[in-house]
Amino acid sequence: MKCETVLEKLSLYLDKELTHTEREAIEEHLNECADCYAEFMALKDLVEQLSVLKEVTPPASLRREIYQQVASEVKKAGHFGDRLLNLKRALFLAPAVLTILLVIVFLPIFQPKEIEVLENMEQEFMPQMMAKMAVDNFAVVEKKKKQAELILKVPDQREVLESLKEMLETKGGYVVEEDNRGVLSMRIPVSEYSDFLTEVGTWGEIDYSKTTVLDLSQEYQEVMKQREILDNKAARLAQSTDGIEQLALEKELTTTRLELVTLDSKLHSLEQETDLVSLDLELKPVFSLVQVQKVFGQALKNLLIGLVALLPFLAVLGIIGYLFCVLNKMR
Amino acid sequence: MNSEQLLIERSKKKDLEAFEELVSLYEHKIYNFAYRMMGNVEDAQDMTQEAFFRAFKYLEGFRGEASFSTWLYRITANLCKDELRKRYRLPVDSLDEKISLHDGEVHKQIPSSQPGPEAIYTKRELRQDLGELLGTLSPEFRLAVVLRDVLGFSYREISELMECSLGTVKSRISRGRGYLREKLLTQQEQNASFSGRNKVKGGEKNEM
Repeated sequence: MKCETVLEKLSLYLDKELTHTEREAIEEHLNECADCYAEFMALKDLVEQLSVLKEVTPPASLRREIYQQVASEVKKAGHFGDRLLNLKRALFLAPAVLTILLVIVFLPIFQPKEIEVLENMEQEFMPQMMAKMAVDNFAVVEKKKKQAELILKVPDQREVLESLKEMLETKGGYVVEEDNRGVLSMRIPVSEYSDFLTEVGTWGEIDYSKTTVLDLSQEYQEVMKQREILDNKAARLAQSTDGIEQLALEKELTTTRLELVTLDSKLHSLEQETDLVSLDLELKPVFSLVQVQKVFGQALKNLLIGLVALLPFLAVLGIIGYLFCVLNKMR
Repeated sequence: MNSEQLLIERSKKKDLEAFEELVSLYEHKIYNFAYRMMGNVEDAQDMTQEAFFRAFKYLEGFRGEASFSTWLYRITANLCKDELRKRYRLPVDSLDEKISLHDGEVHKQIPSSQPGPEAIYTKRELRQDLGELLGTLSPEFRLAVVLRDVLGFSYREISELMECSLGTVKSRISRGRGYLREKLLTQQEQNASFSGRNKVKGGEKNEM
């Protein structure tokens, strides 16, 4: 073994931190090399000197000071009471609070314009009353008539018009009236209406929208009741065989049946009205400049959405970083 | 649960009397450790006080993975290291073992604590000087040597306390001691050049 290597390992040799073979090699070398042996003894001496360095006694005041500092900390913590008020904990919560605030502030901007629903106040509270009244005779059927007006700003009127008709057909609706300036009157099945509206909303910007709901349940019920009475009457008339009044009876039966037919058609039209939503749609063209602005605005919006979406991750990162710092400090 | 664990549990619940008892158990050890790290009593007091204060504050975080003693020493060690770094304005990197002890970085921090030409070299003085000499080691190396040679911790205990590998501990102790030896040799040579008597003494010492 070279002196250099031995000198490097002397410290570990002294502390018996070497493997058996290494130790033997060093011992062998120390037996032969006086310089290394001298260095070994000097190192041993140094270590001995260090171990017998005079101990110092802490001043009596130290314990008192520690006690006072700790006591004032306990008092301070007591003042705050709630641990959540602790500044460090508050800082810990800061990213989360910030994120929530930002989400609250930004979220409404990104939501599509809500479609205003105006319900007829008078009619709105009627169904409940009616439901009670009608419960023993009829199963309550809610019949509501929906009428909607919609103005849509679109980049290409003709294109939208075409896809609109196409979609209307697939959804089981139809166009009632159409002029050549982009104003349409149409009817769409109630069940498909909201889907239809969402889709239409993606084709352009909703400039104006209004939905009126008219509750026709009461009317419907009444007609149904009337119809039942007439039905019973017709059945009774058909069964009676009073010879004297035969002619008058037959006449009345005919009238009743006619009335029944009228009622049926009324019911039918009511059903038609309530099963289908009438929608007046106006397609307004948008100028190209506006379109450019819109595209730019959309890009900006997307960027903001992306940034906001990133925030929770930042918060999580912040929390991890903070925890790491705290853990590090505590050690 | 032994009495120390009981004291810790009570201290966690902000029981001041229990914590004072814990302080009395470790005050002497921690104070001496801080004294050897900082090199003077004023700093030792400050560090000891701060260490116990932090221990109390963060006691909830102490889950007993290490012994309480190790945990307390670790807090003190980190406090002293941070304080020393702040004073020497040493970049953290230069404290790493990769930097050679012989380069300028480390030599820069040595205060002129060398004995003057008139100083007579004796063992008693070596002992006094050694305390000062420790102060010329960079914080990381000082910590390793103080823990090992002054306080008598085992290598394993030190690696747990310093939160580094056994290899790092070995290297730091070895090189820290080597550095102290080198410093002592320079002192001896300086003294020897002024007095022949000292040279003989130094020679005797080496043959012990």
